[in-house]
Amino acid sequence: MRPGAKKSLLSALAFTASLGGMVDTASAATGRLIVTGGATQVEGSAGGGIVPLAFITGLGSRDEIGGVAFLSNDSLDDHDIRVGGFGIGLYDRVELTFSHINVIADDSLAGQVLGNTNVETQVFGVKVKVAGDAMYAPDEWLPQIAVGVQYKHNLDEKLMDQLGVDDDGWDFYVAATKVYHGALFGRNIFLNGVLRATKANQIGAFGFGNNNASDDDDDEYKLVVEASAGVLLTRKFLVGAEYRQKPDNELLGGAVNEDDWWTAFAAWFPNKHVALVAAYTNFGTIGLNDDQDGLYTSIQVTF
Amino acid sequence: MNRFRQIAIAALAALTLGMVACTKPVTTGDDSLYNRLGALAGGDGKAAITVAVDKFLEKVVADDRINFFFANANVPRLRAMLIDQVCEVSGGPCKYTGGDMVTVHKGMNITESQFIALVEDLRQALVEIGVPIHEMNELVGLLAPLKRQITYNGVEAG
Repeated sequence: MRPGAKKSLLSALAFTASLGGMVDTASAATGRLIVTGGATQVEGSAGGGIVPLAFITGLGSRDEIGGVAFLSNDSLDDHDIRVGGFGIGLYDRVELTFSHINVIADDSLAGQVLGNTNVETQVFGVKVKVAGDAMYAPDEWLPQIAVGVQYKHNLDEKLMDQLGVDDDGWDFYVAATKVYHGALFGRNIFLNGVLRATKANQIGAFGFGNNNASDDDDDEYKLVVEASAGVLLTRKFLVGAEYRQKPDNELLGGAVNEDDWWTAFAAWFPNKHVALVAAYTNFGTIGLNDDQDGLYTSIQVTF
Repeated sequence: MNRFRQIAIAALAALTLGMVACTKPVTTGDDSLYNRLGALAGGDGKAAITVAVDKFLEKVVADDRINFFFANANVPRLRAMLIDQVCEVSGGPCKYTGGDMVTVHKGMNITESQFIALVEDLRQALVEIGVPIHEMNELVGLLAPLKRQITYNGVEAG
C-alpha cells in the first residue's frame, strides 16, 4: 500500500468511526439481527467483498428503511482498487445502491503503456427480495432469493476506445442465501450462490463486451457463477470465502486476459452500526500483469 | 495460486456436504439438546431450561422495546408454558399444552423488529447463564420458524 493510500484510509476510518458514534444516538433502523445485512461488495450490493448476497442492505426490518455507507481498499501487486458508496434498504424488500470504483493502475504495465492511471466506474444497483427467509426458515429447504440489476458506467472514454469496448453495460443476477443454525461444529453458517449474466470486463473497469472480437460470443452476455460461504465463529465474528467466475472476452486480440476472482475474509461486527472486513484477495491477471493478489480492507456504517 | 483456488473450492464442497449432514439438530435420545442442556445443570434438563426461561423473562421485562406486551400477562402461566415448550422442542419429556402460536399472539400485531428484540433477549439470557454457542444456535434455530406464526398476527408478507 502506498503512503497516500494509507493516509486516506486512516482518515476514512476516523470519519466512519465518528459517523458510527453519531448514528448510535440517532434513531436507526436496525430491526434485524446483527450480521444479517452482511457487508458491501465492490459493486455496492449487500454481500461479502466481491459476491452479492440475497440479503437486503442495512438492518431495516419489514417496517423500516435502513441504509449503509462503505469504503473499501484493495492493495494488489500493481493496482489499487478503491471503492466508496452507499445503499438504502426499503422494508427488507428492495435495495438501491451506488458504488464508485477507482482502479488505480499507475504501477501496472497497462497503465504505463496506455497512460491510464485511474480508471473510474460507477455502478447503480437495484435488488429485490422475491422469496424465502434466509434466517427464520430452517424448517424449509428454500433459501432467500433475490434478483438484481447493476447498471455500470465507465468514465474513462479514452481507455474504452483503446480497448475497443462499450463504456456502459447491465449485469443481471439472481442470488440465493441460506443460514444453517448450528450446522458446523455448532456454529451458524451461511451458503450463498449467484448466477449472473454480464458483458463486463473486470467488472466494468475495462468496459463491456469486445467490439473487435474474433469470436462473436466475446461481445455477448455470458453466464457466470459466483459462490460464498461463511461460518459465524461467534455472534459478531464471521470468516469465509468467496469465488467469482469471470468472463474473458479476449480484449486486444487476446493480449489482455481475465481470471476468476476469489477471496478469504474475516468480518467483525462490533455492534449493529459498524462492520469491518479484512480479506486476502486473488484476482489473477488484470490487464498485462498477472498474479494480482493482496490485502482488502473495508469499513461499513449501518444506519 | 491455482492450488489455493482448488483448496477454496474443496473447502466450499466440504462445507456443503457438512451442511447437508447437519441441518437437522439431534432432538431425541441421549444426544438430544434437552440432555445436553441438562448436562449444564447436573443432568437435569428441566432445571436448566427453567433457569434459562427465568433469565429470559428478566431480560424481556427490562426491555422497553417489548415489555409493554407483558404488562397484563399472567406471568406464572407464561413461564410454565415457555418451560414446557422449550423442553418439548429440545427433545425433553414435556408436553406443551398451551394454544398454538398464531392463536395466542392474535391481535397483538407483533412486528418483525419486536420479534427480533425478543430473540436478542433470549440470546443474551443464554450467554449470561453460560449456555455454549453450539446449544444456543441449536435452540434459536428450533425456535426461528415461529417467527412466521408470531409476527403480524400470523399473516405472511405478500
